[in-house]
Amino acid sequence: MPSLISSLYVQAEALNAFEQAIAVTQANVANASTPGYATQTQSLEAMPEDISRGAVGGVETGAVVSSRDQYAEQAVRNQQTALGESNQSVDSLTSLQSMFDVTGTSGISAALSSLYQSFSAWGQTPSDGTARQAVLTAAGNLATAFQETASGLTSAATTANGQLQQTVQQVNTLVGQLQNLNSLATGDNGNNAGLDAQINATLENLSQYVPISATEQTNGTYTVLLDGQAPLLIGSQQFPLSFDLYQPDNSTYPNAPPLAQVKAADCSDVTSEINGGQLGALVAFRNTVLPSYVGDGSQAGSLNTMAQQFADTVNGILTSGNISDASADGATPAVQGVPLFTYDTTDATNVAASLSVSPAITPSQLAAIDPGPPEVSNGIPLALAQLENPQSSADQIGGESYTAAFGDMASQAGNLLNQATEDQQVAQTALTQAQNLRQQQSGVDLNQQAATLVQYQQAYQANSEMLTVINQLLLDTINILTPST
Amino acid sequence: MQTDVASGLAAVRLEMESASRALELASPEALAGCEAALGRAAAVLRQGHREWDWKSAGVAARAEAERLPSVARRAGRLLSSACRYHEGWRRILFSMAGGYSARGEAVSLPAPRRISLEA
Repeated sequence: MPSLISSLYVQAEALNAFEQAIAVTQANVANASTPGYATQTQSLEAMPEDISRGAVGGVETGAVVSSRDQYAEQAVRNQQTALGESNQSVDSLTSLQSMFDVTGTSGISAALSSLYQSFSAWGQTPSDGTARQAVLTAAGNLATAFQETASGLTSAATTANGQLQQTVQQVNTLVGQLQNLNSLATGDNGNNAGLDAQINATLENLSQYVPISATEQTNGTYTVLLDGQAPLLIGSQQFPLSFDLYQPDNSTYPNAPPLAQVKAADCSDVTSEINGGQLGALVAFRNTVLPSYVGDGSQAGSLNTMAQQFADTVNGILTSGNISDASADGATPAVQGVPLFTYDTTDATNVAASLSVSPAITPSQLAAIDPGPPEVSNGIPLALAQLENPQSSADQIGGESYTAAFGDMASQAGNLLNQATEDQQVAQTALTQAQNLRQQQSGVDLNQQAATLVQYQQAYQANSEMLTVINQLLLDTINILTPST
Repeated sequence: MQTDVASGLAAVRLEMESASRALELASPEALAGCEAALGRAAAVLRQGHREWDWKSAGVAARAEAERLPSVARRAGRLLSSACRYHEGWRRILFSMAGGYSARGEAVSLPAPRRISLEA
């Protein structure tokens, strides 16, 4: 039997514990509508009862434990990061897609089609000045379309640079706010639920921009790392990010558009650590998507490659022809054709932007005669018109026509946008899911949670199997509906 | 009378969307509802393969069929994220409370002697 003193000790400790629990409850009520606030739970732990060693049983006060579990908070932040990334991707890719009209009513696709038609019309009347002028006009329009598309992509890169700069500043501002909150938390030893709510709300806000991991320290402050690596905040010290443009060393194309770079406070390159959030989407758009069209230090870009190959092919066909035949007596030699297009030959990443019709060429200088043998008076315009549906691999780009290649470029942009839009919808729902999970977890004791987790495991297994069955049935459905060719 | 394919596929889509809504909640009760909805979707599709008038399937049916993979992907991704969440938490919880096994896995949670007050 415990002594009287021991009994009193138990009662005193229990009372003290319950007083603290009530205080926590009051804080919960007061902060119920604070954004980012999670229920605080006073945990009461059973003390061992061992009278021989003076252990008297009952309960003792544990530290006030925040039921805002770090894991649940990080899960919500991860989904915020995914949503921030997909929102930004949709925004950037929507502007990109508008530059690639494949309906044939504007842009490169329409200009290509018009040029092929002008080649064909010229082939019908090879000496007709109007038909020749129409070729020059259509070629000029195509060059302009390439220039405008290149200019649009350059403009998109400039916009992305500005957004990157702003986003980095926004990240630094939010980390600065957390730095101030950390200073306040140090004084409270992490026992201020309202402050904790502010910190978590700011961390959630920050996670839209960059992937972060945040860990609460024993003194109540938060350490924030960029994707678990570069520090952004440790205690009261902030490590600000910075944005820069750079050209990689040993670039194959040293005059190519520079790449975006995000640097840590120690000036180290942390761009590769930014794999999500709004900043991650901007980096991916700026350093991966745009260069695939307009090039960077290691690639010319598909738009430039297409512009160069098309110009070279047309020029090659024209210069293989003759503007006029040699005189019958041989006194006057045949006049060889001249190139139609010019471009910056010193920079493969500047071809589309610099493509133009040679300023020196006149309609009469368009070579129509294929010298053969046999000589064909309209052989060159016919060969040029054939480019619309090329049979020879030399007249193709990547094994297909130029029209199809442009369609591929456009569909690449369209596919990226479709994927980003689907990701955006899922990310929005997944964020709500993570918030629901956090809410469900808040305030649940470990015994209850351990039992529920077993239930979850069984449910996931069953749902996963069901989904596998449905996916197979959907595949069969699509096969049934797809007409066999 | 044979079911119109487009209507049948729309019914499947509605069940899948209902499953996604349940996954959004991700409570044990909602997950049970999700399994039931997925089960109904599978049953409708299975029956449809046998009984629907596939020859008369038109543009509307194809449009519905094209929407379904995205709806299924969405449900799959929500299932994965919820599953990943609980599996991660299970590992943390069990290893915190019960420690690790010799093979490095989180061991089952022993019943802790603990009472707690919830607000």
